[in-house]
Amino acid sequence: MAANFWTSSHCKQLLDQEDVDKVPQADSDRGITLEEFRLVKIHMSFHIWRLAQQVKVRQRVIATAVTYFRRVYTRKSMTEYDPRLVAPTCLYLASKVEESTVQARLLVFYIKKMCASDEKYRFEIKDILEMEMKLLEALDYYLVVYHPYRPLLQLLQDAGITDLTQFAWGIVNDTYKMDLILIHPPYMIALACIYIASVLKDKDITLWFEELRVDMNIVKNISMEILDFYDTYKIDPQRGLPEDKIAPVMNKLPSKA
Amino acid sequence: MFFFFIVVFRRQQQLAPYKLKCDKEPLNNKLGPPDYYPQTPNCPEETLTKEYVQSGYKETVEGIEEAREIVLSQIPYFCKTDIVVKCKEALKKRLRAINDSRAQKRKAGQVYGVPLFGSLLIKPGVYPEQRPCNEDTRRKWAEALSQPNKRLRSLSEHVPHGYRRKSLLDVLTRYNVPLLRATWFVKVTYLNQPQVRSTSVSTSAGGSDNHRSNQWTNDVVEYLQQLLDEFCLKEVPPSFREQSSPGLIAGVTQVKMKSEAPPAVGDIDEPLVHFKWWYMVRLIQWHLAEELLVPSVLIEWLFNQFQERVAVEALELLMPVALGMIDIITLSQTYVRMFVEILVRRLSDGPVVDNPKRAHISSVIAEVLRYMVLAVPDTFVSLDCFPLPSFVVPDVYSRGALLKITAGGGIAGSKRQDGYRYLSCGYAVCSIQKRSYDLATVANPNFQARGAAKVVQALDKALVTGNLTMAYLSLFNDLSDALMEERWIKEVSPCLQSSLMWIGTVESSLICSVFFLCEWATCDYRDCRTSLLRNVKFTGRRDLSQVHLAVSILKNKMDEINNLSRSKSSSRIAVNNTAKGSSLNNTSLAATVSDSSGLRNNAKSVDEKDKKDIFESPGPLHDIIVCWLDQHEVNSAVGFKRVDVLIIELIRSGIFYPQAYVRQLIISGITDKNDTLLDVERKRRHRRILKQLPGSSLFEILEEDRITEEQHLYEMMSTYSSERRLVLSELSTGQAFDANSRGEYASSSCVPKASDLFLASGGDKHGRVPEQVEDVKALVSSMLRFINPHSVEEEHCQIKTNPQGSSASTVTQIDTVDVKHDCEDCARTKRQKLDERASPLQGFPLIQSDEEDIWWVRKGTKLHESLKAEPAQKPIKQNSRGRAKVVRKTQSLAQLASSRIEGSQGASTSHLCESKVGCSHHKPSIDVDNVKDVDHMKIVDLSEVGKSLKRLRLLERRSVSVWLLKSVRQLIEVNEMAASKASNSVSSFSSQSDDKTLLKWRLGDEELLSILYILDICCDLVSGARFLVWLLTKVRGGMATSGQTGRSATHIKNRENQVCQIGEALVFSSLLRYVAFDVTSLQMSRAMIDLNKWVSWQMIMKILVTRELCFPIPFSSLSALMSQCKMCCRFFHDVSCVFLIPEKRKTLCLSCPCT
Repeated sequence: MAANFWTSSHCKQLLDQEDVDKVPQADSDRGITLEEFRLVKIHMSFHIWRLAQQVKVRQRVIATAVTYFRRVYTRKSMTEYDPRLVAPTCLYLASKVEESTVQARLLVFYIKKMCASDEKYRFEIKDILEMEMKLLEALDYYLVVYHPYRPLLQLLQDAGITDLTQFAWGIVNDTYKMDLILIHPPYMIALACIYIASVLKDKDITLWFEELRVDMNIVKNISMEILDFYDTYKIDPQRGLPEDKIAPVMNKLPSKA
Repeated sequence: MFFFFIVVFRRQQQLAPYKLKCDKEPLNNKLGPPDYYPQTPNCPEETLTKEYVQSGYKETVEGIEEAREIVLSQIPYFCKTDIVVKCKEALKKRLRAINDSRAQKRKAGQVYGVPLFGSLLIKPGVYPEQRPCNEDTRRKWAEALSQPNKRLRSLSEHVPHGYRRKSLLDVLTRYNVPLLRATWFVKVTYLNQPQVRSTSVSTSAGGSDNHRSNQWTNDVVEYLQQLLDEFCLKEVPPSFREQSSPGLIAGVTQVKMKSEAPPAVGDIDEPLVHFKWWYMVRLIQWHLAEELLVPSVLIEWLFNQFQERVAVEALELLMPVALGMIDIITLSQTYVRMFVEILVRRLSDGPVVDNPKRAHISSVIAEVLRYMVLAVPDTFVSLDCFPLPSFVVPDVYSRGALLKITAGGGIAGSKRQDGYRYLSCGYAVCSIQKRSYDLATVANPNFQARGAAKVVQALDKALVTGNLTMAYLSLFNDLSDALMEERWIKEVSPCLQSSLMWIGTVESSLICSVFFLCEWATCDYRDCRTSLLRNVKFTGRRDLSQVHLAVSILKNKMDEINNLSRSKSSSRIAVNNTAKGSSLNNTSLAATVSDSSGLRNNAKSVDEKDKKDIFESPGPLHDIIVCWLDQHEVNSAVGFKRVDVLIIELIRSGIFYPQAYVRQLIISGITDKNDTLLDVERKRRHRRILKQLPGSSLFEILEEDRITEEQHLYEMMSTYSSERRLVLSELSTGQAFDANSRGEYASSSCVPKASDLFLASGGDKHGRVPEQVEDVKALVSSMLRFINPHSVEEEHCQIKTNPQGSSASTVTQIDTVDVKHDCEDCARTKRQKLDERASPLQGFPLIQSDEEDIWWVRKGTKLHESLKAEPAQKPIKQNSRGRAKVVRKTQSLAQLASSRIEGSQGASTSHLCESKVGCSHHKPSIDVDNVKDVDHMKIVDLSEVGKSLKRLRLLERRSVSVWLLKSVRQLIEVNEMAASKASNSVSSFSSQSDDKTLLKWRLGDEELLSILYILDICCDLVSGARFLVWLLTKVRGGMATSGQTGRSATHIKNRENQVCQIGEALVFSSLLRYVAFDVTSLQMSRAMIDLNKWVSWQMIMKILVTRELCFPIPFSSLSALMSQCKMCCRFFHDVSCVFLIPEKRKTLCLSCPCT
């Protein structure tokens, strides 16, 4: 679709790393540290990812849902907004925005199926609909989000390395376990992923990078953050974060019940 | 209802933010701005279908399946720690590469060092604009500019308008504005220059930034000029003169005076000039550092002032400016040279002791020169300024001068440093001078072998055109190769050089030129006439024109050398005249007996002189040629032949004396050396050359070419022969050479026998004549039928003359010959018979193998046809001599030969006549067998003559050619005399007239062609050309004589036909042959004629070359051609005069009583 990132609310709402990493006061009172705060966001991102696979929506819906989730917690606390309920609600809202609607009851069904042993994840349809209203308020009703996938394809074709599409796409998917989408423009994230892919696949596109009117230092810094993420968090591809790490943190958070 | 409201609200929110305008910079040329996607005509969003409403818009991703879109992740890939670390390092490394490459690209496009460049001029409002204001406001603003506490930002808001050029600089100097703020003000002013330029006279458009720098520099120079002029016009008070000498101290003093108290009006003007000047000096230095000023403009102005200003005070003002720019001056060699010249001139102006200020200036100049010597010594290498004045090089006086300068505050440390500086400068100057000398030496290179190519071209060109002038000048002027001279001179043996009398006095360049010429003549250099020789080939022999050309050049050189030494030349001429007189008197000795005693006395004195001259080197050319022979190496048979021809031609030209050559070899002791292989090679070379120079043949050649007494030549040749034999025996190495030497000795011992046997038949001279040469001469005589009554008479006359004129030694040798003759007479007779029998058998193979001989066979056939053409005359002879006919028929061929031999040995005259009559009687017979015998005999003679000549050595062949031409000339002259006499008395001697006609018939086409054939084999082309020229005169002379007679038409036509046959057809065709084959020969013939005759000869050459004539030429046409050009007539007349002497001899011989 026709769009211009530079005049969008997404561009205007870009934050600094410091603002994103700020723990809300209510959560801090409960003893949640910055590291634990990050772990909860990673865990719930994984939760959205698994739930999306069940309801069979496209990657862009997942990306939008994760962006909504992380943006909410730059303004609201996890104490007030239970992340267990906010995650499926973001997916529900994103499916509407991206015009791939998913029924709320279908989500309730799959949540029960996935989290049978944990009653804290058990919600009803009305719970989701109520949270949707709150979520819209928290997001100030700005629901359009720009993702790196579209510039990624454009840049790969221009550089002449379309054979790295899958590899770079995978790296972009992994960036949604982080807050990069709230900090940097989409094309910068795409360039960083291409930068990592070209190095790992031994593609010499130095001349192409030289011609770009872009600050390569920023691209390098983004690349380093991505690599630090891979080095710090040993995530299981299927189960996500280890249970022994995430369970204590989730217990600190209150549940609606 | 609530849901419906929510949906409507959501749509309104989505439509609002879509504004498709982007001012973001594109990523690169192909990609647009990042994250910007303009609206396209075929958007899926434009259509809304049921499918889209139910399942939303589906975008397919190329390269990724929809099912794997979500699953793709690189988390498993990065589980390994090593990969993450390596990836980080690689990313950093590649980032450095990208950044470095970008930096280089930026630098390549950036221009450094250009003042006031870039965005400062592009962006509006970057520099402050000037505003008009009143005088009071401007003054206040200027005062604020000079105060450091006032900020430039506030001042920039109200920059006054109107300051430019002199007013600008006056403001800066008056208020002593700090240099940084002054620079800012200057930049602001000149950045606003377009506005100012519109009001100025100059109408040029806004130029580049360099234009602004030029303008600013010109303004500064103009201001400095004004200050300097203002200062020089005023008289300086004594009090300020002392203060101004330290330089900056004056400025400080003036500032203090100004700040302390306001001075009087009269005092302000004078110190203000100094203050302004020093302020400008500092400003110039600052702006040069910022590159606001153009150094070249300032330097040129400065140098002009140094040259124009004479006052010491002016130098004091200018020197600080020069010192500030000294680093810029040293970067340019041109500026260094100009500055050094100016400074050296300044140092040499006036005495130094009188004026202390001048001494100070001189000291500063000396320091500047020392600085430049040490900073840029290479520039001084090409600068001719040494020796420098004593101020610059270290010496006591310079130190004394320095002591005077620093008398007030003398410091030992500074003195020591100055000493070191002097020494280092002295060393630098020495190095510079040494390097200048080395470069000057290298700058005069020796052009090695450069002239050789030019000389070769000139010589090759001379071969084509025949013009020796250019070749002569090029050879003796352009050829200058020191290395070649040294190499060639070294190759000559030192002992031989010491024995040569002229070699020490000759320049090496002359030696080199002669060596080069001899090499060119005898070696296969480039021959540009190869194409000509393809079409023209008469005798099939190699071209020897180079040899003749070289001989001509050497003759010219010899004449030049002789002209330089006039005394020797005149003495030689006297000797020659005396010799000629002696020879003439000797020929008339038989007639006049009473004068014999007086002539003998004169002859003795002449003998002594001739002996000395003959056995000494004739000149430097002879010695040079001996040296060349000593070192010359021949690589092919053709080279050997050319060397031989060259030597013989040099002998005939009087340049080379074999007798002197032999004596020089003996004196040098070269024959005794066997130390090295080189010595053996030298001996072999000299031996080979001497073998080609037998004394007997040389005798005839020298007699032919040089008018010397026969007796003196005989003595010289006998001495030469003995010395030559001695040298040859010593030069021989190995057993084979010994055998050859013995063979030569045996052959030489037979010479008297041969001469004795053929005393009456063929030999002109009785003496040491080789047997083979005599045999060849006999063959030629028989072929051409030289035997006739007149020849016999001539021989008898000579026999009577020789005994009276010969010396005692000659008589002794004759006695020896007689003794040997008695012992071996029978054996000699037997040998002759065997030769006669073998010759017919050997003739046939030669005919088949040699094409030239086949050609002559055809000529023989033609001769046979001519015999048949005259049947009318022969019956008369047959009727008158019937008795003899009967007697001869019964004899065989062998008996006829033996009868001829007996007759020649001493028979009476009547017997000889009988044998001749018998031969003539035998020819008219029509019998077929007799005719075949005659043809067979002719063929044998022709082939045998050629074969015999080829076996002879070159010098021996030349002796044969000389003898042949001499005999033919005599016979022709005798026939002419007989014809003239016959015409005077026709009726009484009708029978004698028939005999004369028969004799003249022998000199027809066949005889002439045979003579030319022999001359070609002898390689005597020059003699052939001369003979033809001489024959032309005879042909024309015969016509004239017959014209004068005026007798009956029958007789005139008959004689004209016979003479014209030779003249018209054969002589011209022969000349054409020589022209086509060897132009140089004719050119050499031209050398015999004076320069005045050159025009006439050129005309003849032109006629021949253009081939306008047809053969045979009618007599009327030839006569008309000759009459048109008077010079031609005179030419023939002069040529005929050269050959009058032999004619006179014939006249005298005819008057002998033996006839």
